[in-house]
Amino acid sequence: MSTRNIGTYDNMDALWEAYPAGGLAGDTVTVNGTEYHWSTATNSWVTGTPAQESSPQSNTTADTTVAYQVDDLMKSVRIVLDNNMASDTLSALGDIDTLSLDEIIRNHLIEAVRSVEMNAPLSLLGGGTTFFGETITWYQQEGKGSGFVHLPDDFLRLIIFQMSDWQRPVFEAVSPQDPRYNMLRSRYAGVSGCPEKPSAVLVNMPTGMVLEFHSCVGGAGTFVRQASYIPYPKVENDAIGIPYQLKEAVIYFCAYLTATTTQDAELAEKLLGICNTILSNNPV
Amino acid sequence: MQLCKVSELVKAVRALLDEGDGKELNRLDDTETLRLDEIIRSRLIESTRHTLATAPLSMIGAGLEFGETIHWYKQEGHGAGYVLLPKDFLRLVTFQMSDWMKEVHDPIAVTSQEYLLQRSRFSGVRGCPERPVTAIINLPQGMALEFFSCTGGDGTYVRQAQYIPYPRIIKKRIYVPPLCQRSVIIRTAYLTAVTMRRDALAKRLLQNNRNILNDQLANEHT
Repeated sequence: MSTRNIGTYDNMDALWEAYPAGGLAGDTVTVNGTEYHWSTATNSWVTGTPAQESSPQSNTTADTTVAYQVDDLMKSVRIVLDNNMASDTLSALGDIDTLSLDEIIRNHLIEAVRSVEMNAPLSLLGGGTTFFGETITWYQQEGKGSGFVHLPDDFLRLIIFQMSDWQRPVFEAVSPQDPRYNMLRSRYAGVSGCPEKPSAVLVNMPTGMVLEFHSCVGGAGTFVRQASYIPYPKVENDAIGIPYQLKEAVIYFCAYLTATTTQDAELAEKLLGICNTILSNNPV
Repeated sequence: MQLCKVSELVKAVRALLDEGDGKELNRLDDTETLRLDEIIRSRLIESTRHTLATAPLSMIGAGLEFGETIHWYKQEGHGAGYVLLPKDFLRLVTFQMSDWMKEVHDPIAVTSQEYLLQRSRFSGVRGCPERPVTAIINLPQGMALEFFSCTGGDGTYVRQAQYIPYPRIIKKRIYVPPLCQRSVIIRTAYLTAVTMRRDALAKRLLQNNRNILNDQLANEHT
C-alpha cells in the first residue's frame, strides 16, 4: 500500500480540525514530531508502522477495493436478518440454528459479491485490477486490423480497455452471440470497429478466454495503453475484497439469498428491492 | 462539515419507531434495547449514503475539495483531460475549469450516448467552455473525472471542485449535512423496520422520506 504524508500539525485537535472526516488508507501525518498513520481498522490516527490492512488482491488493485473480514460481513448480514443475537457462547453450547445460519450466509457470500459486482454500474466499481495483455496476437499484420489478448484466469468483468491508437477506451465487452459481433466481422471496413469507434468482444478460445479488439490502424509498435478488470471474488486470509461503495449492496444481497434459503420469501423480496435501490440510486 | 453524534441519531430513529429513547436498559439483560440499537447503528452508513447520493444538490452542502493535479490528453489547456477523484468519492457537487463559462454538477456515465459524442472527431458536438461536460471514468489508477473541454491554453487550472465523501463513522460521529438529517433518520428507521418485519410502518416511512426529498425538489423549482 502506498503512503502519502498529508501534513504537519502541532496537536491532534488541529489535525482533526483539518480532516474532520479522518484520513484514508495510506495517509500519514506528522503531529508534534511524531508520525501517525490512518488505521482503517479502527478509523483513527495511530502511531507506529502501518499494519497490514491492504486488500488481498494484487498491488495493482485500485484502492477503492477494501478487504472485509468474512466474520464482520456475516455479522452484518445477521443484523439485517434480525438474527444478530447469536453469540460465541451459543455456538459453544451447540446452538444448531446459529451454526446453520452462519453456514448458509458464508456459502452465499461469494455469490453475493459476484452478482453485485456483475450488476453494479461502472461508477461504483473503482479502477479494478490491471492486466497488461503482454502478448498481443494479431489476426493479420501487427498494428493493423483486429487481434486479441489473453485474459487472466480470474476474469469476471471488464472495466476499461484501450489500444494505443484508439481515440477512446471501451468499457464493455460484447459477447460473440451479440448481433454487433457479426458486424465487427464484416468484410466492409466501415461497419467494423475502428480507432474512433472501437469494440471489444469476450471470446472463448481453446487456450482460454480472450479479449478480441476491433480494430487498429497504428501499425508496428501498437500496444495496450490501458486495461483493467474486476477479478472473480475469493476469500483469502478470511477476508474478501469488495469495492467499498458496494459493501452495503453485498450485505443486502447476501441477506436476500439467505432469506430465500430459510423460506422467508416476503423479507427476501424487500431485501432484494433495497439492494437494487443501492445499485441504481447513485449519482452517475 | 458538521458531524452528528451517532447516539443522537439512534435516539431519533428509536423515537420514530416508537421504541422509547433507549436511554436506560429496563433490566440488566434487556437484550431487546441492545439489539435494536445495533440494527439502527448498522443501517446508519447506508441510509446516509443513500440520502447523500439522491438528495437534491441544495440539501447536501459544499462538501470537500479535490483536483490538485490535472492530466491533459494532448496539450496543456487545450482539449480534454482528467483529474483523479479521491478514494472516498461518492458524489460530485461542483466542477469548473478556469476558462469555463459555467460549472458542472452532474457528470455523465461513460456508457451513455452523450459520452460517445465527447469523443467525436467533430469538435462542434463535444463539450466546450460554453457548454462543458464531465464524465466519471474508471482508470486503472482509480476513478477520475474527465472534462470536456478547455481552450484557455497554458495556466488553465481547476477553479472549483467539490465532492461529497462516502460516509464513515469516526469517533462515534458521522457527517450528515443539516438539511439531510431528517431524511437520514427516516431512511434508517425504514431499513430498521424492514429488518424488524414491521411492513406497514416501513411502507409509511419510505413514503414519508420520498415526500421530504420531493418537497425540496419542488422548492428548488419554484
